[in-house]
Amino acid sequence: MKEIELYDVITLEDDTEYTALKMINKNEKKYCLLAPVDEEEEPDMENIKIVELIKENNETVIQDIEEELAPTLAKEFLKLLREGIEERDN
Amino acid sequence: MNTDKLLEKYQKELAETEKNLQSIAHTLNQLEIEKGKVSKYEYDTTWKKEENQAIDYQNRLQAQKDNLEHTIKAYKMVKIYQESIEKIGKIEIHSTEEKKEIETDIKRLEELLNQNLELLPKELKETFSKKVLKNEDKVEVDAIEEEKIVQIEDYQNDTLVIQNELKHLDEEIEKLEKSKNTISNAEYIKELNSLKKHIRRERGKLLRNRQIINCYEIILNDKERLSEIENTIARDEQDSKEMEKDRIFLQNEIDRNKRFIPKNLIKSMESIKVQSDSIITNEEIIDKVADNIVEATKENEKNKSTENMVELDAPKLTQKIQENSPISKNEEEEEYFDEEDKDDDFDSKLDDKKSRTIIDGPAKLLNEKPLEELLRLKDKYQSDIQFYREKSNLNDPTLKSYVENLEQKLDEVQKIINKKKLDNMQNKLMGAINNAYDNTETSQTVNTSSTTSEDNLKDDINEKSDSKDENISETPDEPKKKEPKNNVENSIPEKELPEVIESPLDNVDSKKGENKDTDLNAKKPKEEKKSKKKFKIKNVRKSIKNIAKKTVVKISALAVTLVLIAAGANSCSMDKKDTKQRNEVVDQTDNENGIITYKSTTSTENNYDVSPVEQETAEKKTESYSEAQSQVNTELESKKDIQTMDVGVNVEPITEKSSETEEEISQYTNQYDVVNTDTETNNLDDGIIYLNNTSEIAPSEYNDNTSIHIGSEVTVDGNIHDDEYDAYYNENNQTSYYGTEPKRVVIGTGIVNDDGMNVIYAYNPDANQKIDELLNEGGEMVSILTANKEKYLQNYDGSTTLTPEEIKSSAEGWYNINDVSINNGKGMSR
Repeated sequence: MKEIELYDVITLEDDTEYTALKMINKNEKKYCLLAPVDEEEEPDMENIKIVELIKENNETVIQDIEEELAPTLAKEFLKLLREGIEERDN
Repeated sequence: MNTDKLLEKYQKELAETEKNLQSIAHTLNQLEIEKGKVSKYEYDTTWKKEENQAIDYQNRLQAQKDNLEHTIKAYKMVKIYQESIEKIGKIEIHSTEEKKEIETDIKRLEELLNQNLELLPKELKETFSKKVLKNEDKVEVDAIEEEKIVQIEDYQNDTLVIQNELKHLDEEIEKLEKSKNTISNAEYIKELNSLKKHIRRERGKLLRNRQIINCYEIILNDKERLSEIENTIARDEQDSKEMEKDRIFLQNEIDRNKRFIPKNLIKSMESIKVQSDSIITNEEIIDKVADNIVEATKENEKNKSTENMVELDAPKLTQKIQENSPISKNEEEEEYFDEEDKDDDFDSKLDDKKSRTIIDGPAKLLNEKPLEELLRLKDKYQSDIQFYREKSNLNDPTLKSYVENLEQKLDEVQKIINKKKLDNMQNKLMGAINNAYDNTETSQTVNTSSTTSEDNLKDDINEKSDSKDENISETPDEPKKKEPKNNVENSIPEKELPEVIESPLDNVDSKKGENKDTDLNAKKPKEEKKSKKKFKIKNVRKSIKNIAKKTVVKISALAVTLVLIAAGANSCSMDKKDTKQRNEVVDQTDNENGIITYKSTTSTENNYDVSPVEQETAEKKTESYSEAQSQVNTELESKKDIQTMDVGVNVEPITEKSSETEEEISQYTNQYDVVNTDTETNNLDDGIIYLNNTSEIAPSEYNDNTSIHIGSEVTVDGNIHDDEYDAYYNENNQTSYYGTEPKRVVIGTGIVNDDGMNVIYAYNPDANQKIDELLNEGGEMVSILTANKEKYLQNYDGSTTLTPEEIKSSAEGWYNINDVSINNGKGMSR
């Protein structure tokens, strides 16, 4: 399976689709901000999900993160978001 | 002191210990009741310490009780052997064989007697006047022992005396103060100095005494800890190192403290040391006793000839029983054979009320035995009882009491067997459960009843539990092999996994397990926590509709959600109905007041539980139409909202810029220049076909989109949108808006062609020319950005070109082209 890249549409086993909005590396782990997308590939920003991307048997698997980790990662993603906006602004 | 008195003394102590045990059990019960009344936290902070102390004290009392029982039983056994020997000696001998047999029996009984005698405390041993020690020595030893005890008691009593003396001296000083006026100054000073000197001296004594007592207690405590360390088996190398470190530290501390203690007290401490040594030997005792039982049983079986027994007459039978009884009675007596227990200071240990040693009692020993051995013992008791019942009518009281005794022991063994079996089953059950949770440490959670009561000997408990596990495998009626480990995760059908992700927010909602008291329950949440849900990815593909652009449009909603997650809010379990209802109420109220509002943006549609923070956000988002802004402006407003959200976390502003700049607008323009669009026909809910790059679809029936340009005056009749995409897809509709004057001026257009969405703003000097070009090239105008007519006119300078600031100040929002009626296609500027 190919590597997940930003804004790729990921189809899970139950056929639900998510898009990878942001990705960060932290503590040698890869975290991803996923948003569910509908048929029109419209991301649902209210139902975003932070997951960990792990490699298992040469396959990428997404794994839930610890609840306590969510706020920290959310801040990281916010920072990333801000930097992105500032980059565009400049 | 004669034997009876000594025995009486032990029995008295035993009774006292039992009484104390009852009292402490009562205290523990009360604590248990208290536990039910208050919360766990409150209990832990208030009562846990007391509970631990009580348990500790109970354990010590239990150990003391076991010791006393141990001694009393040993004493009774010695007496029985003595009587048996005497009785056998009186037996008439009819043959050489019988003589030999009796001699062997006597020899055997004497052996047993001596062995048991060795286990008795000195003072008791000597009362039998059989052995080495002379009475003088005994007196001396007693005197020393008494001295030892008196010494520390002396210090304690001295302390009390000194304290009283100090109190008295204080009173004297008070009296002196009162009589100050009645006596001369010189006399007063003299008296006062004398009293003060006395006080200083007494205080000095008091401090010294306290120091001695403290040091004494520290040493005792350290010795106890040392013995614990010595009894503990290191788990690994590191553990061993730590233990060694602790041991050295404790030894140094003992040595340091010994300097402050008089020699006679140190001697008494040596006896404590011996006691602690006995802990170690006790472990060995257990093993040895177990061996002895097996050996004795075997030997007994050999010796015991059923035929001979039948042939014996009643007195012989009785004697035979008495001969056999020490061996077969049960392990509680047999344990006294152990030579390891030949402790010279055993009596002093018993006398020492501060004894903290824990010597496992007989009941514990029985518990320690493997199930296999217990079953064998049970069979033996059963066969013995059966034999005696069949072969005699039990008229002989000795025989009767013996059989009764056997029955009693059979009951005890049966109980322990039942318990063991239950424990084994529990072990297996726990093992299976733990395996299910992928935890191999089953032994820690179960079956501590038969292990030592010392809490800190966890390793021992584990070890013993482990040995029980082995016992399980040894038991014939138990399956020998452990069940294979089940990996629960693997056993879950893969199909079940994706179901979890159907609720993408479950990572926030779940995992709120509470700590339970039991090990098992305590483990469960941990294990659950450990097993994070994993989801396999079925497919990864590139976005067809350029999600990146859509994300930019909805960036504020994303930021708001992230802020909420960062703040720890349950952002993912928002009830959409709440916000929608709230928005509807807001809109309705505003309309009633005659204030025209535009509907909240995407971000305001976030459906959070209505918290003050979120409400504030929602309120911020609801702005009057007179202050309407362009889509770009709305986006920036969203950013500002995020900045102002007080969510309790240090979230830096997303952007520092507060005003619209040309760059910002160009950014939006540029970003849409490369939008990919679907090449297929898109049928939306309203049935209108918006895009078909085959250009078969004609422009809207009533809109000649080629007539609409920047500056055109239009009438709108439909929903307003935050951005050209929403307007194009007719999604995220806001409240249908009609001003009293529905006329608008076009200040931006959204034109779709093969390259995607092209947005042309009025700030572009060639805006209309660009629009024409795009339309001529097959592009289709799908949405327009409108402005308030008055504001547009205010900014109007005779051309279609407006500055970004002017656009920002006059823009109200985007309309779908089908909601627009053209009034003046050429535009007001023309």
